[in-house]
Amino acid sequence: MSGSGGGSGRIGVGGAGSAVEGGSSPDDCGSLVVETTLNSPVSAVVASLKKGEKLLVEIHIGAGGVNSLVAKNAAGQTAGSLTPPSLIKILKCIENGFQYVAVVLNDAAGGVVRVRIQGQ
Amino acid sequence: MVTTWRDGEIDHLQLPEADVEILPGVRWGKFDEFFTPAFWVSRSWIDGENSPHLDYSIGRSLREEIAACLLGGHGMPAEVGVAAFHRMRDRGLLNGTSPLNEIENALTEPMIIGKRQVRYRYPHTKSRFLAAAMQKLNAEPAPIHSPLELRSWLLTFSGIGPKTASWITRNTMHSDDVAILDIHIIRAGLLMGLFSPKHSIQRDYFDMETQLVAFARAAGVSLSRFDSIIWCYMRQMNQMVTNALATVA
Repeated sequence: MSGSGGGSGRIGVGGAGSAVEGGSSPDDCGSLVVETTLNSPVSAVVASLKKGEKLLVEIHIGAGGVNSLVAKNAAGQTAGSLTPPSLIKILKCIENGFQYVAVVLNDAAGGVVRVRIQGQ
Repeated sequence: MVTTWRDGEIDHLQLPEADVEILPGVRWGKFDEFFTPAFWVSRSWIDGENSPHLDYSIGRSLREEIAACLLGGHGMPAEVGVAAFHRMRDRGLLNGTSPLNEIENALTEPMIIGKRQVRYRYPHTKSRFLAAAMQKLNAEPAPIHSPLELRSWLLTFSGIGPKTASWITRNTMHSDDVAILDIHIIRAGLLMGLFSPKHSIQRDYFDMETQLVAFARAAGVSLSRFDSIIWCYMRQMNQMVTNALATVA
């Protein structure tokens, strides 16, 4: 791509002067709690999930450097992906060393799994 | 299928399969893999109508928006351009009759952003562009009945190119017919396979815009809203974007 440099400079007043979703300071990261659903569920893993179980939230780097946010069980198996509303904030906090878990909120049998993402 | 938890219940969005083409040669991809077309469409849906990403206008009128956009860009941090605009507005220097030296002096004075003192880049050049633009607004009626006509008119202003003209048009008319092809949107287009590394923004701006407009229409999303969400994410996911771009041929 030629001639695409030069940065941007545009901004909306809603986010003027700061990260739109807020910062990723320890306080911001620690206070973040968000309910969402488990997407692209891996049925073999989801079938054994129990209400109250804590899944580890991780940035998964796949083939070709493709990234996604995933939830893994204690055995390190991916249960599904996470696409929460506060995605950017969670990613920035994880990049800064903060760790989150996704607490399973319902019995998964046959339906959508709801989780609450919170600090570990 | 994408699911999310919204207003106390589960909401669903059905998207085409990952290998289906949204435009010739451009596949939807997986919605939970960052930077695919499906990812952006799902983010737009998940973040919803009340997303802070959608609050993109800076000024309260066309005059103010022209000033704000003219004072931004050119590689300077967004916050500096906004601070310069606020100073001009607060000092009443956007009426088209203020002496050039007053505008230039105001741009030359250091500005406080956060706890830092910063200097505005190009005060000499930008003060001339700004003064001329504000005078032109006093002399000519703006064609505000049509986004594309407004943009064409803005392109006759000194110091306003396609990107800035499109930015002003989007911010004032919320138009889905124009694209603001800045570094973040261009990178997003590259990662989606919508743009090619061979594209040149100087040479191909309007061809690239046509592609992005077609993409938004095919995806069933508002380009003005879509652009704003992509821009906010790309700006903040900088390291991941850099890593992903390294894989683009």
